[in-house]
Amino acid sequence: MNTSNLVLIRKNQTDISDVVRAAYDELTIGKKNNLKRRKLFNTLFRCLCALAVVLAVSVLVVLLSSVFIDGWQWLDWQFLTDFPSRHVEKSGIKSGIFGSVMIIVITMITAIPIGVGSAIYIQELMRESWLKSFVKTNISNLSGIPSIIYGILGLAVFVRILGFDRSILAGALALSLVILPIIIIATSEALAAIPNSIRNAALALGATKWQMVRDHILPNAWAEILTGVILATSRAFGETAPLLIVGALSYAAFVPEGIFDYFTTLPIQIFNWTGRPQAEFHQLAAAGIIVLMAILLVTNSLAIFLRNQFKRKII
Amino acid sequence: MLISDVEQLNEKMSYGLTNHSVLQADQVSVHYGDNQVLKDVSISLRERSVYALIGPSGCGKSTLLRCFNRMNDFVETFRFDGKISFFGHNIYDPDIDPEVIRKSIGMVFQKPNPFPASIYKNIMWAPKINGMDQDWDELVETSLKQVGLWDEVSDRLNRSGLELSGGQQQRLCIARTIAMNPKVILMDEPCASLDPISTAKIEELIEQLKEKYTILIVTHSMQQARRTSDFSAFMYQGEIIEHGITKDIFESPRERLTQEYVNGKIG
Amino acid sequence: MKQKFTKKNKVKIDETVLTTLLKTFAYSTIGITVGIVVILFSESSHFFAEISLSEFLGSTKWTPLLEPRHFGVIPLVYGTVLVAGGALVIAVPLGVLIAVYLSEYASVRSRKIFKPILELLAGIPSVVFGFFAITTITPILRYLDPEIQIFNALSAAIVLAVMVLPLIASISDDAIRAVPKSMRDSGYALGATKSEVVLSIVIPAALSGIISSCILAFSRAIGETMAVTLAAGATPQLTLSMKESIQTITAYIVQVSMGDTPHGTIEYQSLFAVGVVLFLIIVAVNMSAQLVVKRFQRKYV
Repeated sequence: MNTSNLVLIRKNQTDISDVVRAAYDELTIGKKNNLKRRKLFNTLFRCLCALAVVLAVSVLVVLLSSVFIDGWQWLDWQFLTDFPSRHVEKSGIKSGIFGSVMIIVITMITAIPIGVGSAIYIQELMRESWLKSFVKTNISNLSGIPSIIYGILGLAVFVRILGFDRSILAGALALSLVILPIIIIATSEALAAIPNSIRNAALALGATKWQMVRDHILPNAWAEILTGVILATSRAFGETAPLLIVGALSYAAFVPEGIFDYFTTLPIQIFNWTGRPQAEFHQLAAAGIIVLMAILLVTNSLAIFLRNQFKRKII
Repeated sequence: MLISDVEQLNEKMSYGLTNHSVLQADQVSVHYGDNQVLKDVSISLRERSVYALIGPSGCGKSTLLRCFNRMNDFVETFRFDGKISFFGHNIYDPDIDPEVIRKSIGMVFQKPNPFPASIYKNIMWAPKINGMDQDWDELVETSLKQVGLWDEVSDRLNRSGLELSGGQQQRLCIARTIAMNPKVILMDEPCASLDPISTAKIEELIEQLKEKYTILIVTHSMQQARRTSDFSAFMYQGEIIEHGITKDIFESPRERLTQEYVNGKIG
Repeated sequence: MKQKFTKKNKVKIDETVLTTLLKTFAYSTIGITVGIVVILFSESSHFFAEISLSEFLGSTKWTPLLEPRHFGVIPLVYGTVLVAGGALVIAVPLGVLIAVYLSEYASVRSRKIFKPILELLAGIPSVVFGFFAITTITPILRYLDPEIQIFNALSAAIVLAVMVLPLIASISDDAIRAVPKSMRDSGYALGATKSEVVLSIVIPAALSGIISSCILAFSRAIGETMAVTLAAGATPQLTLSMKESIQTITAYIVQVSMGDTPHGTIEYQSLFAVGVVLFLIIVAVNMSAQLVVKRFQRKYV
């Protein structure tokens, strides 16, 4: 360090006072840059985002309230216990409710063991290999296929080839194809959330893979698996297209007695009534929608309750 | 330390005492919710010097740093009392836009955080949105040259900034900051995630940058503070225990706590 | 010691049986995919034995139930893409804005309110949206413009937009929230306003997620059945006007299924032929979503 550097520093000092003044100006008067315009844009953008949310919420409100206004006057005991009829005032959803419940029960019996079992096998027991990633990719692809395609598959395989005709069994099997990928994915996610330390601990104590799954993985993951299963089931409850393709009746004034009977379901009755031109039938459809949504609300709240109740106690 | 170095420091100190401070915190207290993080902190930064904030983790160094360019505004429970003056003007004045403050008081973060965009855009984006009108090629070149990155990247300005190494990314972030021509650069442990060679380069760069900018650096490493800074402040549990010339802080601290910290007994 | 071994062996055998069962379940999912492909192509081969591929892909008329019969699939594909595309035009800007609001502006509390509302919207069955289209959207549209037909593509597009909105919003929201805070900080530290940070840093960084959410929404809209069947009607035609009725692939499949067509007729077989088209479109769209994710991820990380 020599004197010339010191001179340089002194020289810089005179510059500094200019810098001070300039910075001070910018802070106080300083709107000479474009900040005002940018601030305005900032505010407008925020409002735009909020507006989008308000729009979405109001669509939901309009949807729910229009259904309720249209349908509540028809909603009584008689509506639940009567068969559909040409006469609006005598119409009910008895056959639809019976059909829906029977379909759902069979769908659950088939889809849940296969879905949960597949997920356990893939996630816990399968060794890492190209085969595993192939199976996983295949399942995620299946989940992206629209339900109507499963309806077509069900029509060809269950109705014609296996000869189940247009029965409850054929409909339920088609529906279980729809929700199978959903159940597998939900279960896999629940299993993947269990930390590896638990697996290592069990295996290090000499447990077999299955003992590990049975005693340590499933007890910790069951609540989340159940949540996923319930959500998938309620999805199946509202599903309409595959059952129409498989051949559900749009009009049925009887309660199915066995799994090989013809059937209709609640969503299909709603579809049928909505498709008619008369306003009275639209009101019946609305009443049916209230029942349908009430059932879905109960099942979904149950799922959310379970998820919150048992959320990750171990982690 | 050479005698001329001491002279230089004295020059700077006398300058600081006879002029406005660049940045000055007065009785700053900060709460996050009910939790008080800073207690009556006062510090004054003078032009073209390097200041180091040292202290054990959780002592409030980073919080104080972020107060200087109002980055704490994004914390919902943040409450600020006191005053911070930038060239004598309170930056927490309701009339002042935080954007203007941040433009003049740049910041470099612990982890290099280039935008997921080209090197070129990383540098010219902020001047552009701020309505500066200049030759972007030139700005990019001078900024990169100032951080010694130009020779390394001049042939791939259109490649993503994320393709650079950690040390290069950090220098890119510094280049991005000085492209705005700030008065002050705040650095929040800029070398914490870098290897020793990159760290040495950044420290060298700090040495050069203080010719033009005031630098406030938070660091975990006492060696780094000693190597790079002219002045140091030791913080402990939200308070500034002691501040002064770096050499004094490390070699002849007045406070017992400081002594214990620089000797490695606490922290 | 010997006893212990046998016990262990019994465990092993039980486990083998069980594992084999689970293995069968897992591999049966591949069977589903194979089943879809085999059934669709073998059943539609009967159709293509009678109708030439050039007629199917070349003709611009689809009148399988009326004389003279024409089997040109173009009007169905066109109707499908028209309503799905129309739905995206409405839903993408709205969905992304909602995602930005939820991730950037909403407080923790309002987020807790709005997220379940979106989930609620996503959980409503498609037939209910069909009802909504017929009884609310179409009357409003017809009030605004009396030229609009009772069944029209616009109403279908709007209701589809409502249906895919939660999908776009929630995937985009996840993508935006995955952008590290440090990246936002760097923008703010340079004096940018919030909107500038969102538009020029956060959204570009989250682009792969946002684009793939849009493509998935497109795929969902193409495969959607009940709402479009109710809202858009059953008039396969190539029209530029969204005020008129069209027919989508899915709506045609429903129309044939409800008509109680006997097995073996050309109408029954046409169901599988259009099914193949729908399946191929869906597969192509879903694969492009995966490609987008892969390509953009490589660029940013």
